[in-house]
Amino acid sequence: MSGKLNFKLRLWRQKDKVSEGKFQEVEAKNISPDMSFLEMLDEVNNDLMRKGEEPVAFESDCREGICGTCSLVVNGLPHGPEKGTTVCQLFMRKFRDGQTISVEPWRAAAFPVIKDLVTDRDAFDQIIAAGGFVSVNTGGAQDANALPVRKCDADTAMDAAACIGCGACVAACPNASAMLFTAAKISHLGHLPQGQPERERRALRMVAKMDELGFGNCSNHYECEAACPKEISVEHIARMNRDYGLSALLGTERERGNTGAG
Amino acid sequence: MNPVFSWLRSSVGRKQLMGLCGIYLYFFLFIHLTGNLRMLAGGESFNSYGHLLLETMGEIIVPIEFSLLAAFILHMYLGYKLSLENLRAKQSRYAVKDSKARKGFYSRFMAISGTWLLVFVLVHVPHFRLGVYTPIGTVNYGGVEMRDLYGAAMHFFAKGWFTLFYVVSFAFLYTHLAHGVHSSLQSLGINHPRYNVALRRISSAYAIVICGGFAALAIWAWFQRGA
Amino acid sequence: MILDSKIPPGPIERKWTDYRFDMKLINPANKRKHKVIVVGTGLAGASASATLAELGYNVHAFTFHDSPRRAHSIAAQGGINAAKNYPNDGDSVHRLFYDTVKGGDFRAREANVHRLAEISTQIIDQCVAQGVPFAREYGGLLDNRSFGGAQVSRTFYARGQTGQQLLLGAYQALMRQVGLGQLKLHARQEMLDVVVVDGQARGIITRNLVTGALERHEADAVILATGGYGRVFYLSTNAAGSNVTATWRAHKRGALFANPCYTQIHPTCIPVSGDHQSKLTLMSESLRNDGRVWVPKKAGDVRSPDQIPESDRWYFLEEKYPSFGNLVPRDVASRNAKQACDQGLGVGETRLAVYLDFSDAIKRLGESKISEKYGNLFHMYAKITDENPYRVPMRIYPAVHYTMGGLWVDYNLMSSLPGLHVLGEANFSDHGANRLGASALMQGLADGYFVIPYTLGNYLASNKISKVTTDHAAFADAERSVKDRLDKLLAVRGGKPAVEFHKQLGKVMWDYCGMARNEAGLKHALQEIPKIRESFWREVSVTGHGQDFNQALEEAGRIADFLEFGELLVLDAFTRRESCGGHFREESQTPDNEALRDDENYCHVAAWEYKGVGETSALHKEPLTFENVHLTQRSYK
Repeated sequence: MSGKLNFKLRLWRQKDKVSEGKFQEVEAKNISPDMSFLEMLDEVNNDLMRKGEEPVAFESDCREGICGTCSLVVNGLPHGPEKGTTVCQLFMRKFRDGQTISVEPWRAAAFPVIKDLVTDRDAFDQIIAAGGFVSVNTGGAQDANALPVRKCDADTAMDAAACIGCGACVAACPNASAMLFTAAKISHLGHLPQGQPERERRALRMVAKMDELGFGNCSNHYECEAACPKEISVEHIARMNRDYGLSALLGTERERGNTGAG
Repeated sequence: MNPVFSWLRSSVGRKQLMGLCGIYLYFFLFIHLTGNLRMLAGGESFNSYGHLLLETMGEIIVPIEFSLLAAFILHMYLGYKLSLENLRAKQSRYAVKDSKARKGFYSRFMAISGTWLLVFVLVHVPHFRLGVYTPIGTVNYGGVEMRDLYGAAMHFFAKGWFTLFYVVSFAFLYTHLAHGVHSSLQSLGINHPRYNVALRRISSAYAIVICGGFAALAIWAWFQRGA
Repeated sequence: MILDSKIPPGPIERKWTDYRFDMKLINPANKRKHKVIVVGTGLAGASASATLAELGYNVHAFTFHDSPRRAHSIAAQGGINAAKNYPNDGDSVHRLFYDTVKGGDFRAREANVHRLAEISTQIIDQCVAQGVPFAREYGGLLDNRSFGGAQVSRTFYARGQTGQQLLLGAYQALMRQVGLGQLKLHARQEMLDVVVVDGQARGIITRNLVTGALERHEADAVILATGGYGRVFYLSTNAAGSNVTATWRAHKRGALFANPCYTQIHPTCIPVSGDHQSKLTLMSESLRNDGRVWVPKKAGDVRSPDQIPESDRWYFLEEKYPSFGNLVPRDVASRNAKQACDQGLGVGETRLAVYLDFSDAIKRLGESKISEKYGNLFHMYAKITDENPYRVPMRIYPAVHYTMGGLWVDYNLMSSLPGLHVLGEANFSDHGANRLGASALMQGLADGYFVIPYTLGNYLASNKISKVTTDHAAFADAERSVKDRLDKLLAVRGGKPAVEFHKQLGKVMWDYCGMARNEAGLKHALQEIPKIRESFWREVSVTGHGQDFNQALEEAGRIADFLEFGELLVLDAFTRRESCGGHFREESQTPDNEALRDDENYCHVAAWEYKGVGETSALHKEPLTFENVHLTQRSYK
């Protein structure tokens, strides 16, 4: 590709969880349009280090859009302006030469900032630990083909299971709600026969945990769906709502003392 | 814990209750609108309808009115509570704001449009149901004495500011319903891949018909002034 | 030192079954008393942690990521092999065993590979039971596809995200144990040393990556499942954080490192576009099911691919290997792509790429079918290259992808350091000199779900494990050495970011120890690497301090380890004067340029003992014997 690009960056700097943060303005010069957004930040950081200054902390790992580690809000949009894309797969050719780019961390009470652009998303793990699984111990599973699954159900389950747990849904939600993340797991397992025995319990416990962790309430803005790099549909949220409502009001699971609060 | 109580304490449960209240109010609005259309047929038709509801069927209608009031208050309470909690969950906001969903501002406007509708109800009910400001007169059709709601309506809507307030309120109602109707279905999990598009269209159509209908009647009444 | 592989006696089909009966058990009530440390939460680590916790052990799982679900297993695309024979196309445990031994160019242990093939079917059952959404047919049964190096369809897949789905299955099983209080998860903790007490691995030293605090953790046994070392080449398909640190530090504490020169160069990656690149992106090998690999017949043909008629195209894999065609094993495909580019036939701006063309498949099956099969891969390719692969052929080039070498382990997956067990890509055991596609996921899960739960119990039941606390002098010593190294990194205050040295190292590794290696080049690399290492310790810039979230410090520490490890890798390549699998020695090839093994002199595992930085490591050989497959020259013609 042709010419190099220059940008004015406004990077969020915050020493730790309790400190106040502010923007630092940095120039990004001679950026190749084929660089990813994170490679551009790498260059900026290398320049900072050459000057003996501390690089801006940001997280990434696989850099191919599947691990869910990278988590930057670029000009007000989690993962940047492109649909269905993580910020590690966002290329600088999508920006105008000379553009000012603001980079902020995910902002949500349940995702406290650790440093600069790095946030703590442990809350997602806790939601999964509350019920995002099928309770089968290793060994003793029946033959994999003993239980046929309709192709359309397997496909829908896979659509939901594609969630990478990045948290963009929470970051984009005006209420910092974790409904899409939680719904994706409930819907993934709920679409499969393997997930049926725990369907009620799963919905009750995961929703209760989500509430407990300080995520906001869904008010159906659907910013989550628009920001999701895997384009997971809010239809899964409707399904979770249905599962939850039916389980909470009509379910038989709690009769044995397995309340949602668990 | 009682299952209903724990459902009510959950984020999803409260949204569902809010949606259920909302749906109850949608039905009410629809019936209210169909009743109001009798205004077009003149005073006798409209007033007889009012008489039928309040006097002949009073024993049913009054409890329903109280239940509507309860649904309204509950809906409102939950709405404000959710808004406050959501502000807290968001903590600090972004320095640069943008949106990928680009769904218009209605959904972020619910607390404000809802507050306006509260004011509207506080104006509307005393005027037309309770007759606080100007006592509603009576008329006699074929020996049956009944409240002259038609006359009251003509009286109030003859004032331009009153009509304008109503029209503006219906505009707010529209923004509220345009997001709220489909949103309540989503919260209750009423969806099916095959019918989702239809549900969305019906929701939008409902909001347009209800708000358009009420606003048109208010304007029609204004045009009747001095007639 | 005699390397005892502890392979059980008996016929190969009975070894694992009989051995499981012979192993000692720990009674359920006593399992709780055994604390086990698992480092790494990828497929191997998460599956081991979950399973051991289910059995009742007191498990402590460590990851340097923020969540176990970030491990790089998540990026595996294509699929997982299992000898289910659902398509009824002639597969069997024995065939999977045979294909894997042959695919590994006869440099893997027969017994280990057979066990892997046996377990493969259970893995699929387990994963399906967990709710892994594998692809299915309309009849509701599981779908299979074929993969490189096999003539049967035995690969199970979940779109192009099989690794993700399998990892999430294991992660969910792990988080379930966390919720049940059976397992303590330590996230954002990087293991920086193994603690050895009385000759047994009894704990680890970790750095809390948020606070910078060093922590001591003791246990009855330590399990490493920390992945491969592909990033020693700097550019690879590995994640930015993938590193050799855990295995290298364990090596320094006495665990032998086996076959480090066996690295897999994956044929279907998106070519390098410039110096700025931080990683390479793999396109699943499954693409070779429907994509045809070709280059123009004439060197320097700059016509756009759609302008080049069939008669001017060279489908070199189909032509050279008619029976396997585009589905030859990875090492063969990679080497042929390199040879074509070396002949000047490469395409694209850098001329370091070959075409992977889907136009025939699109014509035959239609765009929607191709999109259903490979949609996410095509999408990813388009995003990175700004080209539409439905219209123009993909450009691909080989890139470092997986490392078959790793810490030496016996049949029990225990390293030469008693108590230290090594699983998944971090060990060396099952893939020999070349790994077949869709076998990494199989091995990681076999080790974690079905092997270590048995063999660890046997170790704990048959060895005396005395009580040790973190006050023991060995913990203090290990912590001190970790702290000294971190302080030393922070004290340099040079002017160069660590990544510059990493790039230098990577270039040496790729140029002289990449797809083809020769004596002169390897000698040169052995001279260069120490120089880079020395300049690193003179000039590296590590900003900030140690008691903080400090990514510059983390990265520099990992690169410092690569700078030591790289030398061992090259030494191993230098010592192995034969071509086998991923290790192609130019001195050793057949007349038609295929890899030529030297079974007489090199039919062994090369296990290296650490002797100090800059000192030549000591070589120990574990001879390989083949009783169930014949050592043949590998042919895919």
